[in-house]
Amino acid sequence: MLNIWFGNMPDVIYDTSTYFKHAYRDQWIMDPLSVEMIRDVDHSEVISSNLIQSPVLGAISPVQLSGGVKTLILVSKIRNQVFNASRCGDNCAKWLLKIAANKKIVVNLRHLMDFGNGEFKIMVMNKKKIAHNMRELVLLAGEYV
Amino acid sequence: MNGKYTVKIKDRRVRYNFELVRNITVVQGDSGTGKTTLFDMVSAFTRLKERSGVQIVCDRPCVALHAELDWQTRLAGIHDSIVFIDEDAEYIGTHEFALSIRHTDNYYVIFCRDSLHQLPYSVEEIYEIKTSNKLHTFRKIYRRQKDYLYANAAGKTKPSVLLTEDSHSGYQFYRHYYDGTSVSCVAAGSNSDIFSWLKEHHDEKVFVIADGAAFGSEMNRVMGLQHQFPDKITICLPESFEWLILQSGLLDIAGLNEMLNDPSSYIDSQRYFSWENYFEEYLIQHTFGTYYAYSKSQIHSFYTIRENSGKIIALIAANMPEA
Repeated sequence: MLNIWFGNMPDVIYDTSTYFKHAYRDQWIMDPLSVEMIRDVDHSEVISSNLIQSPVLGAISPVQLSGGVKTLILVSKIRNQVFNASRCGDNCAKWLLKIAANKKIVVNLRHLMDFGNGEFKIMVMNKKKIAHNMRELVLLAGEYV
Repeated sequence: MNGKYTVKIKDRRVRYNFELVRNITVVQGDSGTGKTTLFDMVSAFTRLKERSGVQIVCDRPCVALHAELDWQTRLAGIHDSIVFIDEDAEYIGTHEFALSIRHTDNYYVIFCRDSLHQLPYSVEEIYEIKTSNKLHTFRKIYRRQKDYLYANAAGKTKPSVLLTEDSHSGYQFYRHYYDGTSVSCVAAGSNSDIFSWLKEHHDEKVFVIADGAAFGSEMNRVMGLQHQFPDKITICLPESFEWLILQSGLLDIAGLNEMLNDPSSYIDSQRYFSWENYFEEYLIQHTFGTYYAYSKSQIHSFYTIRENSGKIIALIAANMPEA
């Protein structure tokens, strides 16, 4: 399940791009989930672990991916750190839910991300309560952002 | 620094064209739209100027401020410039950052989705980046509708509660206007208290009126709540209450229309952190010593006379509760 601490959080990795630059592994980029997320969010195609084809920028390296995709990859690969998911736009929301579908994921949000009109399960850690849709999430988490 | 600035930034691959109107511009939106690319281009130009391969056309220098420990020292050396700050910089949300930029003569372009409650940015200056081929432009995230509405509660029932930020002159004005009617006027306490009040009263039909000039940091959660209760909450955000008075035609002040048509040419960012501060001072100064002298703490009866209050209300009347 996706667990979110809303608002300021000590020891969170806020600058996820710098962390990614120094921590990512080549095999992470070729992972099918990463390939899908890069295609969906950045509209870019993974050619190899060191080469991605962007429709706007041309051939780029993994460190030139968007902040949102880099954060998603970190969240999916590193379990012992909490990352600032406010680097992710609303177009990353479904991927956060997918990453957390079968495991416990903890992230930090400093804004209300739009998780869409469907049902979900998100633990609002500040309140220790589960939100099942956006209405419940806004009511539970709004006061913290 | 004052005025509007057109900024054109390009390299061999991408182009960005946008206009800055106020001291603080916030850029949000989806991932993968080119925010970091824009910041990186400004950053390269800051270090290497034309030798970076980046071209920038703007009447003021465009510089990048990085997420560094000595950001305050760097900032102290930047004047009359447009300062770009990427979302890696955690200091953006701090009180120290707000204090540091408050009396500077720069404009700031901040890439950040966090709700920056320390900064009084306008609902009108929150953008996302839209792309057409290789050209990137800014587009407002929150679209203003008629009568300064940003969200209009569905349904025929008029609101029964009018919610203001604080209990100053604006609240006093509305309370007087609705005196003796079924509409109750409530002051939340501050702009950051509006969300909590709405959350606790989401079964009531509420007309929120707040100062759009400094309501930017509240938009994410207040509009998020409105989206969940679309038939209950109406959001009306004129620049400020003083701006409404100035706009109403109630006062005959030389040069007023020119100022209202182009505030950014008149409002010095070093002196006024938010446009609402300017409008308040302008109104106080231009009515000082008259029989209709304006005071923020206590509304003068001149403004609450039905004939006069009607002119102010007319600017936002269409969806107001009926008096």
